[in-house]
Amino acid sequence: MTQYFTYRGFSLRRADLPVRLLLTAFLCTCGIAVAVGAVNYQLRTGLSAEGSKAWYRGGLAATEADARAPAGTGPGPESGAARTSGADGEAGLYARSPLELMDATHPHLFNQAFLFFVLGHILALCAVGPRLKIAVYLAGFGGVLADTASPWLIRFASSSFAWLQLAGQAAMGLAFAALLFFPLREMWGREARAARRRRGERG
Amino acid sequence: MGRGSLLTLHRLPLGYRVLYSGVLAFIVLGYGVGIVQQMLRSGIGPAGMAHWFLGNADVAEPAHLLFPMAPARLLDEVWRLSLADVLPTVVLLALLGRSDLSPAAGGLLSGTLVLAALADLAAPALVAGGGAGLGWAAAAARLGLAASALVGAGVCMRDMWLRPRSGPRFRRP
Repeated sequence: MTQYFTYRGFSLRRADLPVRLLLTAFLCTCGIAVAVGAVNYQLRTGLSAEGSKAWYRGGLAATEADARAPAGTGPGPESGAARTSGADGEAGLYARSPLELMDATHPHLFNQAFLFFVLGHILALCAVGPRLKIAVYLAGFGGVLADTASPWLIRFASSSFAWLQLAGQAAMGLAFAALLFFPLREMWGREARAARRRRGERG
Repeated sequence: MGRGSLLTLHRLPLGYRVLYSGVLAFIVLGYGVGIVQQMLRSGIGPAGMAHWFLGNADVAEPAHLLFPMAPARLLDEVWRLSLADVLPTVVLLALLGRSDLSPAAGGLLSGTLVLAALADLAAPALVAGGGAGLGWAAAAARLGLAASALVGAGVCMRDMWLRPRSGPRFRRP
């Protein structure tokens, strides 16, 4: 991609068909990966503040979704250890240890930041205003920071920080939607097709 | 290193500087968290690193009992290291290539990063095959990688935010 950075005024609209197909396939794969991540959160916490509190601080007040899941089926090595059956047979959750939280924090810091880094490069090649681009970058990285810090804050400071986690996830979701929408619109939207027709190009 | 090219860090527009600064901040944070993670597991010193791979049955009263890693678990560890510790060095090297470091300094820093990353990746096999005596190599690789990444990120940040942005600017559409 970096060769395009040196073309003054280049935007994805002018990219060749193979490049557009490659980027579209990558963006679609990222979309699927993020959707799976959202389902993962939904199964763990029900995407609610109460669910987040139960997941990190423990207690038998497990979410309904969590109670339905068999013990040890959650992703990560900690799931089997952290989940056990309560006296009435319902699933319960134990408070997370610092090492368990660290095992999730360490890869998340890299993986989520890299995803926004790569997608940010694709957005950079779109004819979108610089302020909007910066807002998307800040929302993405801010969301990652909130999402990785909130488990520690929920566990060791206050369960009220569950709202911070939801806010971080919302910020990441919005940033991610923008990172998918603008490049796809730029490559396949009506204006792009019209511009290519004017130039007599295929696709 | 990036002299003579429009694509140097100190000439980047604000949007790119925000994007690169964000990922650099998370790389540094990630390495820092990785060191704390290892401290919580078994310690970041030579003995702690050896215990992580070889188990700590010889320790009188360990905080948590660790078993020697089976070959499949060692491979799993290498895979995790390649994603979490080594992948960020690729991004750092790419950014350092666009920094204004002299070729000698840039080469030294990049070489240190690559060597530390390779040593970190080889550490599980080194300690498992060579014994606890090579725990120092694993500890040096992990700490050296984090330290060189910190220096590399600092150089890139300095170029983007502290250097005067003279000369033609590279602009995005």
